[in-house]
Amino acid sequence: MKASDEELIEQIKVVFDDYDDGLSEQGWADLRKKFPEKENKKLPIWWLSGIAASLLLVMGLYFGEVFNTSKSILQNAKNKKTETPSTIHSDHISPQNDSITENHVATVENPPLVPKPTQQATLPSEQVITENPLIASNIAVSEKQPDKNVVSPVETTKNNLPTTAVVVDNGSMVTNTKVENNQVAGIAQGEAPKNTVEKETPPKKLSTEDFLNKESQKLASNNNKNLEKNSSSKTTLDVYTGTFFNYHDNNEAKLSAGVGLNANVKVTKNLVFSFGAGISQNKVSYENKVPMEVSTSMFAARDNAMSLAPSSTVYSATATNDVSFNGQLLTIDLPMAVKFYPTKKQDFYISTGINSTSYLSQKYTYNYSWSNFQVKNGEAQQRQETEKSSLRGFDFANSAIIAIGINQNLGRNTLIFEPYYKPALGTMGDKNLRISSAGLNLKFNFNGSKK
Amino acid sequence: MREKQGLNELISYCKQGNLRYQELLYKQFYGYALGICIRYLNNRDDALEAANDSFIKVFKSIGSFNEENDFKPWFRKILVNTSLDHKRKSMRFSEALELTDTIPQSIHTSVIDKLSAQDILALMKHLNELQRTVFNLYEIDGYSHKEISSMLNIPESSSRTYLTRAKQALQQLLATHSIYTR
Repeated sequence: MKASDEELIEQIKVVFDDYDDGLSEQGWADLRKKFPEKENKKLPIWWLSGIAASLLLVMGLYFGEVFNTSKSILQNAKNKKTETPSTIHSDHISPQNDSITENHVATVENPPLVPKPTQQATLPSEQVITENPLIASNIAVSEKQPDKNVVSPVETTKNNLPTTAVVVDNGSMVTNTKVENNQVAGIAQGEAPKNTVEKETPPKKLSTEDFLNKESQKLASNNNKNLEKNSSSKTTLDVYTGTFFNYHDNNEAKLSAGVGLNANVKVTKNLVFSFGAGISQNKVSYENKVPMEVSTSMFAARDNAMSLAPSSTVYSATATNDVSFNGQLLTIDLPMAVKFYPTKKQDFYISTGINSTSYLSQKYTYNYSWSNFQVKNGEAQQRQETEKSSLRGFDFANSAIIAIGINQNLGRNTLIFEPYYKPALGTMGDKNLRISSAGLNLKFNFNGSKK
Repeated sequence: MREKQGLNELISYCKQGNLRYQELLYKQFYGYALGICIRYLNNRDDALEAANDSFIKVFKSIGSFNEENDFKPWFRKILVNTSLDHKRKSMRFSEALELTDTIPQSIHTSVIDKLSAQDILALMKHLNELQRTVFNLYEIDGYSHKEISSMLNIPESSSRTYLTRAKQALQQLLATHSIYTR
């Protein structure tokens, strides 16, 4: 290699080893446009999706329940409707029946081949039910036309229920068929006319008061069954989604959210021990008054940075003003609480306990205006700095839990609205934040017992 | 020693993602980074972009950096690779300089000593992209022909040829420069 080559290479190395064009500030500003990357919006969307899914689930179950209830009411109403005619008919038609029976009996000359149906004996009060009011005239017609000898049932019941026949004068025979649900027995020669005779003992007509009493008893027995069922299951599981506000002093309260799973273990009749785990995103904002622990940490870091500055001119004579601070903590919550059910119905509870926290990630952002009297004549510049950490720290019993749960039965399961307050007992995270929170948990309780 | 300790402390804060310390690291190594990138890209704006991209890579991957090692060689590798990536993206391979067969004149060392960064960049501009890249990689940044061959995806023999031609071209250019400045 020529000496001149070596000289050139050496000169290049020297010249470019520190090619500072004095525009590092501008270079840093350019870099900050790309770094750190914008916050990934997936997490809030994920939270929102979770909440939406939970609400849909709850609504679906609620409306499903309502639908089932309406269906059963309709079914009951239908059943009642099918039962009602007997009573109505017996009332309304009884005079006719009386006459029919009288006519019938009057036409019987010979003793019947089979014992006389008992219903005829007890008519008109309960037994003979004619759905078609024309029956009287039909029978009358059959009586008036003696040449049409046989009066036989056209239809028999589905159940092949016993049929009794009554031989009337001139050998014609009237068949009494046991009919369920107003099955119609027709008279053969009448073709269209229907004659329904119900042999079963019809339900006793209930007064409104009786009816209400009966229904109340039914409901009460259902509730008791549920209660028994609930009280019989030792352990149940709750899935919950919660939205809550974190606050500190008079700073803006920030909306946060969480989801989790709780197990409830019955200790006594009215006492349940509840524990579980959840994941939640906690946001805190300090704009009016940055807590002492944060500002101490922040300014200590700044002083440290100044001492490490490459050039004494870079950070000399600085002033920091208008400080604000935001924190985002993704935490695993470990609540332990005791639930007390003061009433026998167990439709609400009062809960108290403690919550411990472990941290999946912590992010703290400082915003402040910063003046450097060596740069831009001390003109204030807005600065933002961020600190992050992940999977670090555990705070035992850093908040208390005070809650009230209101139960809403959804079939076998229960939906619980649980407003709560969590006063800070200790601090949270790397910056020792003292945060209290208040919010609402929407819990879906799965009963562990099988039907 | 104290400087190394200070740098290690700075790096450890950067590992925590502290933006304030990242800024300090940036300003401390800004000139170093720009000097390397500009040799490859021959343009201040492109060089700044490559340097900033390199810093971002450093901030993202500094967790894997072992503080027992020297920071500069590690950072230099990132800078060189990022510059080459930028070059590949732009694919600005200028035409090869027509080399004459004339034997270069001997150049007075005082001329070389006086070469500023701008002079060197002006000289380099006259080199073919590959010649300049190979020259930088081999002579300034200390890569072997084998490494250059794999980095640029060219045969080793081509790397040698480009280097030789780059040197010849520089000799000629310097001679011209020398005559001009004399």
